[in-house]
Amino acid sequence: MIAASFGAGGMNMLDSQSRDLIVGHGSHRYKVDVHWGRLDPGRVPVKDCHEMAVDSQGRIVLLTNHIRNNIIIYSKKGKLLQSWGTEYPGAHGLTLMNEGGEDMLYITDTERHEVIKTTIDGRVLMVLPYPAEVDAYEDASQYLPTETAIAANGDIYIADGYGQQCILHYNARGELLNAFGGKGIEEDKFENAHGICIDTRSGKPELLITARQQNKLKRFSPEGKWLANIDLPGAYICRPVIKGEHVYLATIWSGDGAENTGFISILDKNNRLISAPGGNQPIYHQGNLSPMYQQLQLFKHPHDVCIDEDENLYVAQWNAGHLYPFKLIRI
Amino acid sequence: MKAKHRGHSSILFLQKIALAVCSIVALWGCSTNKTFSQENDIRLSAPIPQYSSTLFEDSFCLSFAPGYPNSHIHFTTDGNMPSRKSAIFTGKQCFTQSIHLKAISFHPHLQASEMVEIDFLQVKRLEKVKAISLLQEPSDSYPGGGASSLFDLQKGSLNFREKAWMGFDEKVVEIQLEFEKPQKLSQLSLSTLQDHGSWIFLPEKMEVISQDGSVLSQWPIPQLAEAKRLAYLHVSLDEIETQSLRIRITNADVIPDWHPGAGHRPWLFIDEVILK
Repeated sequence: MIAASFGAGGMNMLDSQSRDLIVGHGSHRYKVDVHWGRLDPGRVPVKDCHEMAVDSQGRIVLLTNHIRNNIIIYSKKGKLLQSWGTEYPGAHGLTLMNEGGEDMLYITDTERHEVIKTTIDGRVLMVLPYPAEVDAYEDASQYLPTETAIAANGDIYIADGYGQQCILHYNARGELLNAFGGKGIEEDKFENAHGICIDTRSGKPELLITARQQNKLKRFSPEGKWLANIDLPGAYICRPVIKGEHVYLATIWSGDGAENTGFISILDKNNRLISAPGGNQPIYHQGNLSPMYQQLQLFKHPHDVCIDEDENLYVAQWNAGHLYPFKLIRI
Repeated sequence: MKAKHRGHSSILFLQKIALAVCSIVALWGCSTNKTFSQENDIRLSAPIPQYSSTLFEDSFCLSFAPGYPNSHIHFTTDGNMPSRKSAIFTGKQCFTQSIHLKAISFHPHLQASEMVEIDFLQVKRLEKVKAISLLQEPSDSYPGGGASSLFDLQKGSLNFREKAWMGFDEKVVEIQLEFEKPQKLSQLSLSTLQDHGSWIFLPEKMEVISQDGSVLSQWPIPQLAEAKRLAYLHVSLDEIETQSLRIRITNADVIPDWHPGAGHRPWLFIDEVILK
């Protein structure tokens, strides 16, 4: 009755010619190097690889919730350069901002219920605790911040994506200026406000915020006014990352939200999905995107993507069997 | 000797040329450079079936979401494992009888997908049920649509988060049925979900208790991870006649040792009860 039902993988049935896998569509296609970030797990272990960023020296900074080394810094070739961090058990969100010529890291920690600002070497500069002054919060346990975005003037936006779904706006000194959003299906609310970034592509800053369970990106003014939605049906997007005119989004699940169905989403300057490495070809009918789903079992749960100066991608994955990041080389 | 020497030099020269060319090409990604994932390292994702419900009264239609370029979905309805020689599924196909569908995506260079396996069952809507109750409440996280939804012919998909599914982390789940008048019954089927990756297992046993006595069916605990699938668990009732029925579903005590959740109680997900 309970029959195993894995298909015939059947390598003997395949064409014997070995060819490089190419993923993605149109202008954004890639070869895949799954070995890129691989390290000795006995020396430099990872748990979930949550987020990545490129620093001003072109190094790739990875955030993991493994407390032996929360931060792992790679060269672009995947060589280990440095690791540090033992005090971030819920390390989840990583934003890198160059402030006055010095790279700063903003780490959200869902177990500490805090956001921590550090230097690139790990010296703690500021800790933002749970926003007790906001009515939505009775205690710290309700605050599970998933992401930060830093404006040009140093203002800090925090998405409480696993908590009360509020977006918290602080100035650079850590003083709370505003709180908006919250949990709900209304246009200005969120079901899993997982990621946030500052979008300056139009010439004036806006916020791009993911509503992951709703398969939407939501555009807000910096003051917290809802502006518009960008629908990405079937794509459970983690955080938006802008490079040039494009928005890149690790897509942790797809289709009906089943496990191990992730891929990468890439939007053009008009916020239309143009390439989905690991996913199906994006198709629009009368301006609406057809539902997205995984077509190749390349990724399990992509959680973040970062882009280097050559427009190669680095993909960090959650719940992927302690996998180190992959590199996708643009062709 | 001279010719042989000259030939050897030529081969060395050609090898050097080939090495140089390959080194240059490798800068952009030589086709034989195994730094990159090869097509035959990667598996196609399972085909995605599209249908309104796996329970139907007269007929149902089935299609699949478009697959990876140059892939084909091969399928069977006779219980056999699909191969590249099995029929290719195209477009939309409609059926008027129960089928046991198995489908796999194949591609000339990529590995074949996992198999999708679905029972489409023809059923008659039971209108004589007077009362349905659950003696144990589902989890607050997966409440489903309540006891009455077990007879609404609305099936859940492979996504356990769908509202059609009720999730239980109890050892025993009991469903009590009362009919308006005595019913002759030959089979009871419980519609369940298997999703080992999400700690959801099929139950260990199911007992159907009626005024005519009780019938027990048991299923083996899986020894290895199995693919996610919708499953119907059948109990033959041998033409009993009864006005009330209790279904006692017993969950495994703990998740087996081979699973990352070993030692914890598995989840039980149900969405329909079908009586014949």
